[in-house]
Amino acid sequence: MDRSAATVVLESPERRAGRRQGMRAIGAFAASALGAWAGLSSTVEAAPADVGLDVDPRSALLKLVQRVSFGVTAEELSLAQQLGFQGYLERHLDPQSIDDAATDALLAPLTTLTMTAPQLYAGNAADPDNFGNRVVDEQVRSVFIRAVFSKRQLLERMVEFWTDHLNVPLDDGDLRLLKPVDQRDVIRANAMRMFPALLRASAYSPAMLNYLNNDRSVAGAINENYAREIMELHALSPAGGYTHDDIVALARALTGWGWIGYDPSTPSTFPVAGTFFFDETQHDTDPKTFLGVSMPAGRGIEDGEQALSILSSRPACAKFIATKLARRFLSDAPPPGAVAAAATVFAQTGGDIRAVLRSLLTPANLYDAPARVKRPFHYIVSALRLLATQIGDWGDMLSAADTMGNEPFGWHPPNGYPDSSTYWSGLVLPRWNFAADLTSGLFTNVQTDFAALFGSATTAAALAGRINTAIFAGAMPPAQLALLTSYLSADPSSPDRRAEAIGLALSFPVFQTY
Amino acid sequence: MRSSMISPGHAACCGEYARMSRRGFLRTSGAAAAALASAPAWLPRVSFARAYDPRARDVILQIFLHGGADGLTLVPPFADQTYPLIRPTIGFAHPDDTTRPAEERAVNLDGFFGLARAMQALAPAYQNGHLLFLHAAGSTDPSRSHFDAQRIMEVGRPDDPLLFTGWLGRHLATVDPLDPGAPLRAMAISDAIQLTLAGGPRTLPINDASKQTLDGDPTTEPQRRSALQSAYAGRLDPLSVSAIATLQTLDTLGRIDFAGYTPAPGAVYNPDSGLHQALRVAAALIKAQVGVEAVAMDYGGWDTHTMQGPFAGGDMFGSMQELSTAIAAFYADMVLSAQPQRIVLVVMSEFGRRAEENGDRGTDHGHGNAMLVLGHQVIGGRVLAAWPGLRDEQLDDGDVQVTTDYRDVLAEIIARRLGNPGGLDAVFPAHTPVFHNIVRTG
Repeated sequence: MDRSAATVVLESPERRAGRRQGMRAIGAFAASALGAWAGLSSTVEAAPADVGLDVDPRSALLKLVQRVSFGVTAEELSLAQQLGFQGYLERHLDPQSIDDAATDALLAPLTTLTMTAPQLYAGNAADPDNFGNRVVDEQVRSVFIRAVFSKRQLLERMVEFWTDHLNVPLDDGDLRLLKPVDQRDVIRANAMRMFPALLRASAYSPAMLNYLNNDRSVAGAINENYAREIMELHALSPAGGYTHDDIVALARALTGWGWIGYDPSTPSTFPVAGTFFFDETQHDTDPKTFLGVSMPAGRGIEDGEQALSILSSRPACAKFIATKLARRFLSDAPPPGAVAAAATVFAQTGGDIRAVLRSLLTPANLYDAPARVKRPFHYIVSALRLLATQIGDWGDMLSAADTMGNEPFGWHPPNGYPDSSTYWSGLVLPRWNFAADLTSGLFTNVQTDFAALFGSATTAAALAGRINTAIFAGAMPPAQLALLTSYLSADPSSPDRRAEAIGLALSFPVFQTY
Repeated sequence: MRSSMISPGHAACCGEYARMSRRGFLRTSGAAAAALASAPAWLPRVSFARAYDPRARDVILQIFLHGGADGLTLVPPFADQTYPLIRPTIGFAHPDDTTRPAEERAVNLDGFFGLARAMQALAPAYQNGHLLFLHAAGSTDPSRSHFDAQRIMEVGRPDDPLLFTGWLGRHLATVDPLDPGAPLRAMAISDAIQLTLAGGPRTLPINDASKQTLDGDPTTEPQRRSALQSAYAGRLDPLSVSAIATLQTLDTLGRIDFAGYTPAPGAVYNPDSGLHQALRVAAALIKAQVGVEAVAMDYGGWDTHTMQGPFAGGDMFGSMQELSTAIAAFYADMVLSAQPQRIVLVVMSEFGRRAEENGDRGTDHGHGNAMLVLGHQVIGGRVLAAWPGLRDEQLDDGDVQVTTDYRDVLAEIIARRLGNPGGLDAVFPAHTPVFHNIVRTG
């Protein structure tokens, strides 16, 4: 059964527990996150008002770091100060220029990440009981590792964005083996390049063709599912100016777009299992009219190619993608002027994603941008980026993301996790409990070093000031800082009290937004 | 929307196990201290301290079937002459058609409509007159997009992009609380509140009601809660509002021992089903009488474009079986029990599916659909439908017409069972509801 719009809202506990279990089964690794951090925090000791990093808390620069990353660290902030607004942005717009060898080393043991589809199918055939779980585990783990440790933070934010936009869940069956390739070769490879290439790569992706049933859509018996969602979710939006006839025309243009399955009884399928295949015998060769453009009879794969080009070049597409990016990076209700400017850039550059980001991430736009609620994954990762010195196993982190409704690849309908502050504003208790568990040492696989964070501070005010500096770059609202100071003043020398104060800081309003 | 129920009892591993045990211990001692000698152990003392009349009006529950559930399978119109022609491989046979295996024959409801075999668990509620089916019902908006259709249905007013609240939220906002002191008036058993509930006061998503405790050192918990209260007080953003509501709810929910809840005799909730467990939580919450007036939950898996599988072993068969047995358990627990509760349960979906099956033994997005309403005061035991027929010229662009506006069904429930006839203008703006006498008054 197709589950494209199936919200598995009430998934069986076993399945989720099983997934978590799978996470833990894989070997542990360790990594140090906070090299620059400890040194910096240990040198700062002063009254709260003075401990900032010489950054105006409301400045566009701090907001830029907040928005291009999964959480402001001392390292990112000092980079931003050093390079300036435009220099820092340009650095992140060119992720290949950033040395990320340390993250690569962390990912190296996750060998399924680099496998081709035939290799994944072969691996599954050799060990059908365990291989799929291992693939899922490594995919999920890699998302956490990259978000927490990668220096290419904007790339990871964009990968998250397109993972939502072109959502394919890591479901059971073929998707477990197809999605990893989609994630690497479609989403990651194109995340900061050209939108038309991304849309086209997705249409050639067996994961997408399988998830949205295009692999079952044939001449004379079309399945509209994928065609409908390309129009509505991937390229134009529901307001994009198309009719049901256009959906049918697109579905017909894409008949025959499928992939080669793994057939145990047919060895010739092994080297090509899980790869794209256009079956011209199943293609509808009759003439079509798509969005007002006539497509002549007798053609093959060029029908689909042309349809995708038409979609990418529609003004509605530019507006749709610009709106979604503006929402992600600026505001839940982005200013129409900023959206219009970004849409113009999209159209003029033929859908250059980096140019659109450059147009949106301006000091003026950011200065006015209101706070957005961190989605749970972002919330968890932002805490880990600041506080984790070593992470031996990600099971508790996945479990926490799951409890908050935001585990990687866990959204089943094709529209991706909602990008809405309101949507994520309901479940608060799991955030507080994550913060309490992280700071009380309940996550035994996550190491922290609060002594380094507090340095030689001894008074409640100085301790609170260190938290303000270390976690908020000195930008903590005074009332919340005063509450922390008050909480610490009951027993400032107690390590438990200090840890609880950090837990509270992560639970306060100021840490829920970016 | 995505996913919700996690049962701590099923997560059997090291760190997590330790955490659960600790929470479990805290909760159990709290519940033990609070329990009255005469009350069931899982009930909190607080429930008896309030001036609260549970007979005043019904508690409403909504199960939303995400993906567009196929009403022509749930409640097949087996006697419509066109039905077997357009559903040759996935349609149900006439109940008397002995040429087909029993499992492929509809369960007769009224001589025209039947029930899918997998829905058979609902037959007793229907026979007792507590269960009403509607057909050719739904939203009059023409959208066949899951997301648009669902949004419009939840908002309750088509073509109003500026309305960001839901019909049930507006009902709660326009009616006096059942219990003025209740910290929680509505609960989404979900990771986020549904748009249906948006705008409702004291409304929270709770995806694991049994885990409503603040982690960390119990001896400092009061001080930490106080600090959180101060940090979030007076702020108007949705997350801060949720935070304050959460703090106010902790004591109430923390004292209900959901894990130890004992349903009424005959009510069997499957421990492995998220939907069963969600209804079990709802039942415990309603019986605890803490003032909850509305519970919403989502149940997905209905977007059956391929290999729909309505018969034994099929995908939709499994979904229908889980749905019907969960509702049957809830019915036994809440309606048939010796102390029946005032509830009304509504089951609906964003749209039905295309009348004619597709080339893949599935169905594409459609329009008119079946609805289900269950409760004591439901005038049930019938299928209410101005049936438009399934012939080509009777269809709406290939789909079942909508002849009963779902808002009329909900409006009647709100007026007659939820005590808010005066709020209908706000609940369904720009709509004059027509009542179909689906529930009794009072």
